[in-house]
Order: sequence, then C-alpha cells, then structure tokens
Amino acid sequence: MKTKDDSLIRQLRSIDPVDEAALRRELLDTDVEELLQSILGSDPPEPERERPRREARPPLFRRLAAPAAIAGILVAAIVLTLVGAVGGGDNAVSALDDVAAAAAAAPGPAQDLPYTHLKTRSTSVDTAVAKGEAWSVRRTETREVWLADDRPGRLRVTVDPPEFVGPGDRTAWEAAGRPSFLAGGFEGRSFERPIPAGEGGREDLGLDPTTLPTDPDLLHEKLAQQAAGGRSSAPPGARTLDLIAATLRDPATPPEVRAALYEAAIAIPGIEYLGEATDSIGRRGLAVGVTSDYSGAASTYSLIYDPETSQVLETRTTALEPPDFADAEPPFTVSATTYVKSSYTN
Amino acid sequence: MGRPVTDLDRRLRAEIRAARFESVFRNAYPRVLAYALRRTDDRHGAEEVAAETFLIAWRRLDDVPADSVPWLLGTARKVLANQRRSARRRDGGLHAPLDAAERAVDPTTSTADLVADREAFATAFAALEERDREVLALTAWEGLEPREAAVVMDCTATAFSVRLHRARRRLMKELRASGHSLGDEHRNPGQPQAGAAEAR
Repeated sequence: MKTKDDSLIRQLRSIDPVDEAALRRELLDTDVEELLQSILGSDPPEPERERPRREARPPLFRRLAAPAAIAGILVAAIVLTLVGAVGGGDNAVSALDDVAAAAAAAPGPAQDLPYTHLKTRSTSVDTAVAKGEAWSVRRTETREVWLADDRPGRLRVTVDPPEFVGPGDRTAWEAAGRPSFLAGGFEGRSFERPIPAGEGGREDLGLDPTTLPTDPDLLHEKLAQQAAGGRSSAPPGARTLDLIAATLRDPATPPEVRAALYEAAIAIPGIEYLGEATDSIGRRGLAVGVTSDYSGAASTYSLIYDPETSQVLETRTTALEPPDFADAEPPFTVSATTYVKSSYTN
Repeated sequence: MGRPVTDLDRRLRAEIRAARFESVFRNAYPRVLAYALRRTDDRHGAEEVAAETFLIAWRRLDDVPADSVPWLLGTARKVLANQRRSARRRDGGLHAPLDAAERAVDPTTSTADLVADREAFATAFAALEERDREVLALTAWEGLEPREAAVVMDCTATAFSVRLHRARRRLMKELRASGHSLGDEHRNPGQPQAGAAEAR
C-alpha cells in the first residue's frame, strides 16, 4: 500500500526543521572526509561470518481442506448495491483498521452453551451445454447445522427452486429440446439428518482459531500459504479473503484473533475499500475486496462486514464483464456465501 | 579443496569492504545527519549520533543491506534512544524528541497565513506521542515508503501502515481541537462520499 502524498503530509513537510538540500551544500567536504577516514582507521570490522541458515518453515495446517471447501461452496445470486465510495489501499487500511478496532472491543465467545449453530446461504450459477446451446441457472441453498462435541447435532438443508439467470438462458434450454439437466429438477427441496456427536461442521468454518497467531503479518502469511494450497479459479488474494471470512464467522474465534484477521486483510495485494454494500438477505455493511482477471474475465471478490459489530456478512464474486455463460449484464453476481447466523446455542 | 587464503586475498577483501563502506557513507551521511538533527536540539549532538551510526555500520558492514538508508536510520534511532537514556540518568531529562518542529516556524520568512498554518501544525504535531511523531516524520520528512520506514521502526510494513493511519488520524484530531480547518482533502477515507455510487 503506497502512502498517499496528500496535503497532510505536505503540510508536515512545511514544518520540517531541516532543509536537507541546504544541509548537503553546507557540509564541508573536509569535515566529512575527516570523519570517513577516522571510521576507516578505527577497529577493523567484525570478521565475515557464516549466516545461519533459515530453518524450513513448519508444516502448514493440514487438518482442514478449508480453501477448497470454501471455494467450492456454492454462492448466491444477490442484488448488490454499491452505494458508497470506492477507493484504493489507503481507504482499505482505514476501513479495515476501524473494523479491527471494533472486533477487538467486541465480547468474547460465550462457550458455556453446548451447540455451535451455523446458518449459511450459498448461491452459484451452474451452466449446462447440450446440442450446441448453453444456458445457466442460479441455485441457492441454505444450510443450517447444530454441532456439539458431546451430543448429536443436526443438519438441515433447503434448496430453492433453480431459476434461469436470464430469458436468453431459458430460450437456449428450449432450443436444445428442454433436456433434463438438474438432479432435483426445477423443484425446491429440503431435508434434515442427525450428525453424530463430535463430527462434521468444520467445512462451514475456516481455520481452527485456537492455532492462529494474533500478529497480523504472521497471520496473513499463514492464511496466504493456506489459501495458496487450495484449488480454485479465484486469485490467491480472494482465497485469502474467503479464508478470513470463514474464520471470522466461527463463534469460537476470540476478539484478538478476529481483530488480527481484519488487519491481516490489509496485507492482501490489491485490497480495496469498495464502499457500502447490502448482502443477499438485506443487511447493510461495508465491503473490501480485490479485482482481478485471474479467472480469465475481470471480477471483484469482496467481503462484506458490519462495521459496528465486526460480524462478517458475506463473500461475493461479481463479474465485471458480460459473462459468456449466461444472459446477464455486468456487474453480475456469480456467487456468494452469506453468513446468516453463527452463534452458540442450547 | 580450495586454495588457502593468502595475505593478498585478505587485503583485497579489506579494500572491497572499505570501498563499499565509503560508498554507503558518502551516499547516506547527509540523510543520517538530517535525521539526527530533526530529533536533537544541537548540531554537535546530531553529528555525534551520525558518527556513531556509521561506526556501527562499519563494524557490521555485512548486516547493512544494499538499500542502506532505512537500516542506517534504524540504527541512528537506537543510538538516539541510548543517548536519551544516558541523558535522563545524567541530568534527569532532555527535551522531547522531534520538538525541533516547533523551531521550524520562522515568522520572518513567511506570510501571516502560512505562519498560522505552520504554527497550528507544529503545535498539533508536538502534542502527539513520540511514536506517532516518529511515524509521521519518517513519512513526511525522511520521505520513506512504508516498507522502508518499517525497517527503521523495526516492524513490518503492514504494522507501519496501520501506525501511520492512526498517527494521521490523531494529528487531524489535534488540529481540529485547535480549530484548524483541514479542508476536504482530509475527509476520513473510510467514510463514503456521496455521488460515488456505482463507480465500479
């Protein structure tokens, strides 16, 4: 992040007590030469020494396939309303530093309740091809889990009826002879099943917060390494942002780690402040993100958060160019993961 | 097996070292002296800090990176800190670092408005804590980028960026408290600006 040469800095320069240019002119060669010769004539420098080899980095977290899981989570079609200012790295520093302060001041997890309750709404766009035609549908799934180490939990999944992205997609499907391409058809469905005690659930979360450093730079390094190990069409910075979001939503993540997660996001190359945003269920927040053509077309990968509570609300991928796989105009939400609820409960 | 090191090898190595140090010294001495002058109230003391800094650089030349200025300023910072500790032990106190800014306002060479501005800035700047002043000074006076200033402060570039952001915010708060108008350019960058909607 480059420091903006703004007027505040210019004003500060006006009170610089030293004029370096004048100082250079004023320095007498003889004085400087005398000092140089006296240093060169002093005790000889320390003998050249073998620098210790840096030890190999310790193995990374292996217990989770979080980036792959997160990147694979289907995301939702939402109406994104960017109504705020957009800006570069300095604005992102400001915004993330503010929310980090809010996160540090937020109460810690209430761990005396037995269940972790997570509700996540994911949307993606799926594309099918048949008989020379291609069309896309938007699929939305809401996944709700209650997890506990010492008692059975529960999983509830609700799948909304898929919808064609645009009228051109339906036309293409009809031109292909209305083939069956959805496992569940065009109907919505839902199901529930029990989860054995101590099993499941980590796929809805990020890294284990008890193993994470609170130094933002160390944390960023760890997250970036973890994100680099995943397979995804998203750029590394976006994967890091996804990992930050999934770890932030973990109700077990303590305030100091949550603050560090937001500050670690400052170090993501190309991170920008994107202004105000509304998530898929109508909650208003602020967004930061990275824009990249890593996947072949320019897209913005954003994280939306509540600046007051520091809760993460959503991660989203927005296409900035007309997609060649769907009848839609940019900016077009390709996918989103909305963190509807994350808490401890009875 | 390599051949044994001869006297000629040693002499050559010493000459290479001396040449490298000379290059570092000639390039960076004015910057190190300026850094020290901004943080002390007398020329002689600043020259002592600069000399001590380069003596350390000579003795630890293997540690001096190619981009030597941040490393040298970081060393000068430690030399200054040691001097201040000694001075406190000796006579119970020394002027606050960076208060040289207050001396920078010279009413005889500026217009009345500019002097008022500079006085307000100097006063607000002097009211900040030392660490905030150092962060701002490294940026505004030494002209360092965050990655360079981070070397001086012995922290990471990210940590420096966060400190700089906070220091700027506190300086603006001091300026506002003194009734100084900051102008539109100083709007908090975290705050949305009307009319920028759909800019993406």
